[in-house]
Amino acid sequence: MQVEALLLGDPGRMPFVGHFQLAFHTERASLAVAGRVAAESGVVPGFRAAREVEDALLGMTTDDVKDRNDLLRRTWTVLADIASCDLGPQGGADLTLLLAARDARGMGIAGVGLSGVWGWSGDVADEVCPLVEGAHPLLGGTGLPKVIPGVLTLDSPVRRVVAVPSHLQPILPATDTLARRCGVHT
Amino acid sequence: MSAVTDLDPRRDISLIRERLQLSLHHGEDVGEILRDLAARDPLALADLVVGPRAQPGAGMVLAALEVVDVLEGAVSPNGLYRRLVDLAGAAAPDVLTMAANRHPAASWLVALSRRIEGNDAGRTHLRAAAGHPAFTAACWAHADAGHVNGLVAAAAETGLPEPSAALAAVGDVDGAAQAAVRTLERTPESPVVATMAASWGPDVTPILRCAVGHLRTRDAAHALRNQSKGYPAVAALLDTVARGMV
Repeated sequence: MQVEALLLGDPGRMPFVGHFQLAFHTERASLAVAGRVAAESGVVPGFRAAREVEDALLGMTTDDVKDRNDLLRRTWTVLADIASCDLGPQGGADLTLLLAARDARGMGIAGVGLSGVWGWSGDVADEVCPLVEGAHPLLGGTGLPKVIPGVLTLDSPVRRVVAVPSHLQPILPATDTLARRCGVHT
Repeated sequence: MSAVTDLDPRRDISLIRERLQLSLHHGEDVGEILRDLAARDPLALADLVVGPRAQPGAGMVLAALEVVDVLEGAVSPNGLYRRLVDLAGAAAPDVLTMAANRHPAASWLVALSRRIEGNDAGRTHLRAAAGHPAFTAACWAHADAGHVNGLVAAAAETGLPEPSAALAAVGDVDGAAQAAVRTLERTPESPVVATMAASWGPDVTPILRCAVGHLRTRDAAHALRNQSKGYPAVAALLDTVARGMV
């Protein structure tokens, strides 16, 4: 029931300023998170804000999670509870987030600040497949939403979900460099 | 007045070349002759110092470095310093130092460093580039060229976080870890972990675990621990390690 979330880094020498990534599993559901916050504020503020997000999510109570949708709801709630001053100078208005939750019945994807989302097996030989197209609600501006956003439901789960932040064109690099360009090293 | 003041730099160039060779043969300083030529005819100077028939040896090249600003007006820096290295013998490190100090942003310094410093390539260039806007680009260029020792030395000398971040960016986990520790030994508050996370990716745990093996002082262990709060498993390991260090 494992799932991995990847967010494409920026071009340049410091592609992952403000990036965070984590995954965890409960008895009934798994969650993968990738995102970016305070990235325009510099290396150190971005790093602090990103670790703040990771710390909050890793401290989330998950013992009584019912299913993937419950896990996603809790994730948004935990994020909303982080003090805005801990999310960098913009107080989280620049947050980009990709959430992928999976349980025995399927998979749900949610997020903010994304310009494209794809499913990928993780195998270099396999192609990535777009999961959304056009003006889909999953694609849009950055920042914590005022209400909990909708979920894209996949009946056939994918192993990896890859997203491009909204300030970049929705174009992915070739699969042989994709994981590294998302800051993931095997 | 130099030994060639009475000669015309163009017409009498052969004679000047002979006088230079004689002076160098007797171990005399040819600096005055080169300064005289620099003032009168930079092209003739360049021909004598770095032309096809230039006299090789440290004495001539060290004197040439004193008039290098004039030589740069006659020959492109890339070609000039490569030719000076060809001729320099034991003075090659002086040529590299001069080139690095005058052109810290030049990409050709990477190959020149390799040629002169071998396994320590990058040390002189990065020392000269520290504090210059081109320092980051220089670190990346040396990391791309595999100049790990030079980057680690630069980390130790400057206390800046870019050498470790550059090594992380090219996937050299051990090199990045070593550079990070050397940086913290010099400047405990240098943001090495944040900078490596920016270049490598958010989970720098593999580099931090590797860094533990390079720790030599408790202060550096504490500094790394302070910057690794966001990585609880590594932070716990560093707590244990720091307690065990003298």
